[in-house]
Amino acid sequence: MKSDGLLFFVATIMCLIVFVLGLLGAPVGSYGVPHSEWKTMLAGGVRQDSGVVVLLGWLFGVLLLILKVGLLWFGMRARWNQAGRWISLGGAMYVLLWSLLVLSYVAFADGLFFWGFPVSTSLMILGMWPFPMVFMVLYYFGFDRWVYTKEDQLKFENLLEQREGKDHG
Amino acid sequence: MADADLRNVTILVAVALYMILCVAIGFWAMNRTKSTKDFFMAGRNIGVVVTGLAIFSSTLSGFGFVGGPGLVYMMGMSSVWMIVCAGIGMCISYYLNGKRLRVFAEYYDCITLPSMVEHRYDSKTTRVLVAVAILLGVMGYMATQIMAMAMVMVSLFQDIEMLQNIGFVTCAIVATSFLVFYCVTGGILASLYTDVVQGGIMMVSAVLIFVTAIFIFAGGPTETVTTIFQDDSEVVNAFGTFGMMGCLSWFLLFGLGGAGQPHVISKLMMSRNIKDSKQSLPVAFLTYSVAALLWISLGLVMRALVISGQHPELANPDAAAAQFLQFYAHPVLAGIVFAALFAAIMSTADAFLNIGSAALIHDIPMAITGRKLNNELVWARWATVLIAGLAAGLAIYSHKISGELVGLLGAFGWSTFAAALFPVVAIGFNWKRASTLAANVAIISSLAINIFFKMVAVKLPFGFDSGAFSVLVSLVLFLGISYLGPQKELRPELKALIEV
Repeated sequence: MKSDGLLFFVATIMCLIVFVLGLLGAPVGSYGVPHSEWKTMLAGGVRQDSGVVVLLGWLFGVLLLILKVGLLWFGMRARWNQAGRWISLGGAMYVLLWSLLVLSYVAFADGLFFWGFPVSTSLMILGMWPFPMVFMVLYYFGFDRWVYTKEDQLKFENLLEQREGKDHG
Repeated sequence: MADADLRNVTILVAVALYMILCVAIGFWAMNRTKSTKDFFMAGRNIGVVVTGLAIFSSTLSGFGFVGGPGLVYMMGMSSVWMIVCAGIGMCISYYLNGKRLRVFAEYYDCITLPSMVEHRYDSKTTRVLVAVAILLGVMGYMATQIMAMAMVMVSLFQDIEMLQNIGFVTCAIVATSFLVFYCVTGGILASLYTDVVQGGIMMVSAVLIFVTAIFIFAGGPTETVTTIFQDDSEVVNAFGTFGMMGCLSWFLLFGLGGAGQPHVISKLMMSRNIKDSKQSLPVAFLTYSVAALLWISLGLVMRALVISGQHPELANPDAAAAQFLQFYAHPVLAGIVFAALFAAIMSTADAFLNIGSAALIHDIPMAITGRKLNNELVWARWATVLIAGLAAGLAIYSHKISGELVGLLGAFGWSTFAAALFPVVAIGFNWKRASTLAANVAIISSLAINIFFKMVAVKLPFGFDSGAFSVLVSLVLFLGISYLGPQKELRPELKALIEV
């Protein structure tokens, strides 16, 4: 499957998941309830950590990461070359981090702390947040090889010359 | 003079000094703005650091500075998902737009995004639709900037006896007047150079504020988190009070949406050299990551302070950042951060006014009549005044009628841009199959969904954000119609530009 086909497929499945969630219906308080004491705050309501909802949530997250990393692949026009392998490896690790986060969210609801936060939160702050640095480094070091090569530059300069010629002709 | 007065006077002096600097930059930029290309595109001559800092500063606006900590205070870790995705969002934006927009801008000598869209899709209708989407998004987002600025001013004045009777409406009018003056004189050039100053200030102050915030409690961040955890464990768990699906919808909306924000991606069209995007990505990425520490730390600390009874409950969540700076930061640091905050709001607002006025006086007339207005630069300045006035009205109305949070109004602006422009620009400029029909349908559907959810106030299940839903629908329609429809033969030069 080409990358554009993959993006279409993934986005469609994500839409379907939202549709299924709509059919399931959310219990009251599943996305926060007013705090009993402080009116400007919300408190946690019914946890979305069991049954089909957490499974759909995890799957939605995996598809979202595939979509995002797929867009990087699409933007770089990566093939199964070094760039493609790096992007894919990064994507796989990103999905792994996400899966660990969901797992720890379900397993340690009452608080196993790491670095001052519940484990799932630490995975979010110390893992999911800085991880895209991998893709930033790849862009920086791979720019001349995969993003804007010497051939691209020549091609673009030729296009500009042709346009100039047309304008003056 | 009492300590509290001294603190407030110090803060006001710092803000006033910064405002004077802005006025000076405005006048300086006015002298360098000779044409509409200068006014809208800074002559397409900005360097790596300015581009990187401008992208970072435009992204972290009043929404991030005021709305962000407010949302963390209100709902805990949920809203942090809006910034957790910032890194991958910036990468997507650069991978898809970094080279491509600059190449198109130079080849077609475009000064606005809608004009490039017309060249890409060979359609004046698509150009008008993009211009309309930009205008609508600008209204929502500009209103956020004005609300944020007015709220901070109110918060600053309320502890100074002489000024405490000044209300929100007056502050909104003063803020808008200042914005208009600054934008009309300096155009995008003023915004860019303010971005540099602001970016530098924000970087330093974010670190200092973060350090101040984490040591507010004797036990450091652990005590902050434990205090909140003991009150309600969900608040500091990974998905906060809002739950998994709500957070994921923000991860989608803010992660993909960045590549469709016209005030951000148009900066990529202004760079001096195509290769500059290689270096400006790390600048934007790293500066944003550091400054985002403010978002999470201020919100959590203020919630812990209120819960532990050390601070009275806030009048509204958006006051979290301002209250922290006023009461817990060193006055000089607070003054600098307040100045940076005004800078953040002003430079973002300037960028919005810039793209909004371009859409109004350049793109729509060009698409309808086929020719430019006479004295376009003069019209651009008048359009700036008009848009700012309308946005101020929207801000005041929104504040009075619905009392909506700055953060959520900002999210509306963001989602309008994200759903309407992300597929059409970020994907369409890289994909030969993308069709005009798909682009038009994607824009119309995204606007319809966003406006429908805003007006009817229907909530999607499990707190799934309607803006994220509109991005998904728009993406599926755009990809599906292009993929399944007939493939049109592109003009040779267009095909070559997409292949570069």
